[in-house]
Amino acid sequence: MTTPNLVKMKVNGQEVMLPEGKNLLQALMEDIKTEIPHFCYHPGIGPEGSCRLCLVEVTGQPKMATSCTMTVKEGLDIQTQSEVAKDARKHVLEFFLLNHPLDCPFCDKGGECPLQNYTIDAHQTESRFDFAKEQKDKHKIIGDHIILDKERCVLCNRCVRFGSDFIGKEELTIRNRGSHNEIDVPDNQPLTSGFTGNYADFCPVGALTTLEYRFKARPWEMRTVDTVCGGCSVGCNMQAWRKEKTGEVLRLTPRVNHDVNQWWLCDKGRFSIHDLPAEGDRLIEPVDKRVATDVFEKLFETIKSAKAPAFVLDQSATNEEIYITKKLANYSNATVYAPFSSRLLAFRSLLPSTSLTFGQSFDQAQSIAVLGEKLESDHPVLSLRLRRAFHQSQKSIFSYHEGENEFSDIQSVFQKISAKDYFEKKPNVDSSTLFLLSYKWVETTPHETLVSWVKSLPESSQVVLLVNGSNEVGMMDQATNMAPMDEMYQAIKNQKHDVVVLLGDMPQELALLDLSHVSTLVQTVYMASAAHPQALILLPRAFFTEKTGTFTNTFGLVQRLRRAQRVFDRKYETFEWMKAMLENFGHHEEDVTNVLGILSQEVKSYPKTLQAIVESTVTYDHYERTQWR
Amino acid sequence: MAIKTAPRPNLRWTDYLYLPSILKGLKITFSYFAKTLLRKNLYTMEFPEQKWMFPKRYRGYPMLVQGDNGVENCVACKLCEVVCPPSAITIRIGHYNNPEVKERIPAEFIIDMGRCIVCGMCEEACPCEAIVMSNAHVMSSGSRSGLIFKKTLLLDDYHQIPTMRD
Ligand code: SF4
Ligand code: SF4
Ligand code: SF4
Ligand code: SF4
Ligand code: FES
Repeated sequence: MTTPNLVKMKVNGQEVMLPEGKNLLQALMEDIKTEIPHFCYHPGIGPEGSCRLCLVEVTGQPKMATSCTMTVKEGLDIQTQSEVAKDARKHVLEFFLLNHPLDCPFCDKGGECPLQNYTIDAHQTESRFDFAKEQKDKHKIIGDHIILDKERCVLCNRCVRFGSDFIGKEELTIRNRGSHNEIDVPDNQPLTSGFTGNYADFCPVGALTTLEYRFKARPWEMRTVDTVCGGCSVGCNMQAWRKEKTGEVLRLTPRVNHDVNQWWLCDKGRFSIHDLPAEGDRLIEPVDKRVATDVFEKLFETIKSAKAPAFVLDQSATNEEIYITKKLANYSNATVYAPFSSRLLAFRSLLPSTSLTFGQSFDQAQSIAVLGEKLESDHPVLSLRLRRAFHQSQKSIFSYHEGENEFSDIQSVFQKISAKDYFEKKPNVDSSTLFLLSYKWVETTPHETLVSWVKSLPESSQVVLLVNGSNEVGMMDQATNMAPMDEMYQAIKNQKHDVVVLLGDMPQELALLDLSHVSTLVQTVYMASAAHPQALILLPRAFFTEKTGTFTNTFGLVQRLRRAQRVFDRKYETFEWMKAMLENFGHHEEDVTNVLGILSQEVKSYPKTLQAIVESTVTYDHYERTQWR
Repeated sequence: MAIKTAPRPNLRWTDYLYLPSILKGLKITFSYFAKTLLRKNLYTMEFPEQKWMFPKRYRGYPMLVQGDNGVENCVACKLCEVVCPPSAITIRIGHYNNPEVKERIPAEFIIDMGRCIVCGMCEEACPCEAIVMSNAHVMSSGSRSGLIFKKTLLLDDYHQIPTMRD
């Protein structure tokens, strides 16, 4: 990426160098850490200039100007903290407070509310408004996850713009005039897009809050842990909010990463923790249906004496779990099966390595072509990025697949087409195109066709493979000595394995097969009742918020998961019991002493470019770092 | 800073004998003893059978206030919980069954009177005048658990302590 041109300008009498052309408000806050109150501006959604709260004084201009609608220019001289500027902002704030209800004590935003902070900073302690406050609807449930309080709204329009620019439909609108202005869902249509949780993030006040987090805790009672979503292969960066007193994770919120999820999360990933069984129902101790104690000793004996054991990984296995499973398999002559596809693996090797991150490739490309899937259902956050790119930087959007057109609201090219037809016809796209190619098409297309397609692409185009599982790319990176799932089904049919250890989901196809020849079936489960009837040993299973390790996302970015909560004892975690078992087998090398060690070992075997990315995104020290917010 | 020497009192030789002062003190003691014998001016009382009446502004243990609508004033904002220096307060937030009246109440409100230091910070922090320092000052119990006051008790006591507010 081109480094921005720094220009000299004056802020509060001091000379500073700021990147030319950048949004002034953003530059002030990001580059020189000057806090300017703002409601309608959001770095992701963009400026609007309607709240007038970000006023600054510009030398040479008779009137105050909104900093969010200005860009950094050479020679600009602004005052952010002068008496005039502060006074102007204070009076704007006073208008916001005229009809604002005094709900702070029971508002979910309380404690992390910009309006609260600005009010305190401005010493706005009294109201001069002697009339009755405007009454509007409160606690109106407007979707599966969102509850609206119209009185608290500051009419910043963020939610409306998010709807039109990112989702393709204004899910919320502002109606009526003057002080009767209010936000509402048009025609009482509930919010249906898969991104409604974001409303609660960017709404600067407590007007839009989530039902899941409603009345659960106060922000000061929680700690945030930086982790990564395991919902799909994008691997959105998120913060898990753990209540310190109970150790529960109460909500997941996005962490900004321009190469992955930007400012957003989809509802599927965000609310995934709420779909977990309640903590009381979870399996927290290993169970062996034959013996009462020493389950792991028994398991060790079983694996050791087995003729042909098999370990079956699922999509949510971290890189470290894969590594240690393979190590253990080495000692016990086991076969490791993992859900990666050999076709995808072969296709990946065709793609030229690039030193660009996904965000950079995306910005460089003139047009974006989605091949083979509806992004919104398979890789939801990416659809937000595409629609925004159309609105903001006029990129052309192409999509080719057999489903419904998801970009019908914008000028995009859509063709209902099968993989076969597409690769035969090779519809024309611009020379500088970023192809987002779905795994679905790669898996159903002969390799030669793909080879010739990749060869036919112009130099300046790029291809990004979108895989399915949250750590499928990590599995492909470590695919040596692992067999794909199809081979497992074959092996089970041929009655090859006497011991099968399922580390994660039970694959649908496997559940249908006859497992009577398997003498010991070991399964990790969330709930004992969810286990396969033939499972003899049940081990507790960890959700992604309970894991430590790394996922490699579909762009090849290795990202760290940090444990945000612990439901069962550490020694029952997959990594830990495997480590103990390895020691029993006589493996005393240092590579498995901790999760971190494995990561640094693994990185050495990655291609150069990937190594650089890993080094820059993963810091090895402070492994269990958490932070106060 | 300049050093200022405080003047020493000029003592006479009688003062050095101590005896006159002791006699003076004993005279007061015995006069009170005599008054008590004659049942005038009692200064001690038969506690706990008899109780002190405190002035209204006396600061005893914290209690919860019930509003006119029969619901506690507290909205479970948790400010008192976070401000309480010895962490004596524990609150679990709950939904009130009629959101038109009130959206949020404490599902559980516990004050561990064994920890409370009667500092009054909770009353100071409360935005809803829901927790007040009552006149209750006797907190004795045979066990530690007897000192853990639940919401119902905290609300009841507010009305029961006769010395509290008029
Ligand atoms: S509901 Fe929130 S995001 Fe929407 S306009 Fe009101 S304050 Fe802004
Ligand atoms: S898009 Fe994928 S990674 Fe991101 S929040 Fe949704 S499920 Fe999680
Ligand atoms: S009086 Fe002080 S110590 Fe007692 S509950 Fe209130 S804040 Fe805590
Ligand atoms: S500060 Fe007052 S309203 Fe808030 S939780 Fe405590 S008693 Fe309830
Ligand atoms: S943030 Fe600039 S006008 Fe609203």
